[in-house]
Amino acid sequence: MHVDMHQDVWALNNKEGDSNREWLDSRGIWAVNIMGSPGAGKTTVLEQLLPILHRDFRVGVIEGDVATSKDAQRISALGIPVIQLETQGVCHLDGRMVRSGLEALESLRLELLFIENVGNLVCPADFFLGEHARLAVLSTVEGGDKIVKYPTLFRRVSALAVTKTDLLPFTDFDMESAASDFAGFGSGRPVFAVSKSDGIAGVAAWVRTMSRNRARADMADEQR
Amino acid sequence: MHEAGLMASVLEIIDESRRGNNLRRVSAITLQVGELNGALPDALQFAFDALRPEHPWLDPACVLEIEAVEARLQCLDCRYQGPGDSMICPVCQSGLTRLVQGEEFEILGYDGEPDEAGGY
Repeated sequence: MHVDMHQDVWALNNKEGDSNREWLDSRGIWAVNIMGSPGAGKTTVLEQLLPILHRDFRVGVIEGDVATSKDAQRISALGIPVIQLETQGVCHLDGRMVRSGLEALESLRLELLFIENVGNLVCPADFFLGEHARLAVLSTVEGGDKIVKYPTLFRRVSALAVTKTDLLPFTDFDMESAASDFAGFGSGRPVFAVSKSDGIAGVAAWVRTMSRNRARADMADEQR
Repeated sequence: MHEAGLMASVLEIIDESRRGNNLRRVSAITLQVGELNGALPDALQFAFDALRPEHPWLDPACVLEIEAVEARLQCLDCRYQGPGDSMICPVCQSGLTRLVQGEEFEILGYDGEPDEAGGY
């Protein structure tokens, strides 16, 4: 006997992400999943972003790391609520892990949430956590070829922040070809050049616009 | 990258389905995997063989068939539809494209042997 299934296995893998999304939407929280290599500058981007966004939003962070709470300590030092998820060896966050972080932050009535994924350019791309947008962080010192070498991740993000641009003169990273490689995997997505002292305002403006558009769309839905 | 986990999910899903259909043994499984999916057929086969002993309902001769699905683009500018492994249209170089297929991971179906009437 033959049984026809046509069962999408990814959909099942992402079931927990879908349920997180409902959880976030019902509480009016807009979430960004930040992905990139270890050392790309994901936490540093957050350290620059949070003091800006903190003025307009109740913002919180979920930090994913294989071990330690070093990143959470850096965020906590800014006075921003943060939950550290230690994956104990697992190379990415999944929906189930993130759910426990969401529940721990529930009482804070957040409006904006950043989820910093485990540093890795491969696995995190495959796991939907419930986020509304994905930001890839790639540093100039890693080399511009990473975009085409890790196509799945760069194909599945909504924006790219290129960090450590103050080191551009010392690397062979080419902003133009990086932007065109990135556009090759999906056009119309912003690319931000960020250094320690410059460029973060662009990322902050993107988050602000995206999250407010979302809130406006929700309101329109309710009025319908 | 996560072939072992994916394969474990596949076997769980099929186990549940074959119980619901009163099938004692499963003799063939067919998957459909997009070439942009990231799951490698060889690694899936390896995971299948490694997990086999945990699932006595799998016939010792059960084969795993993996159908590859090529990546296909649709260009919103020139209406090209066809193969493409980046998101740039190979005809007009436009970036306004969408992926029609190539990222899927599906269980298409399986073959099973019914419980004998009155048996087990």
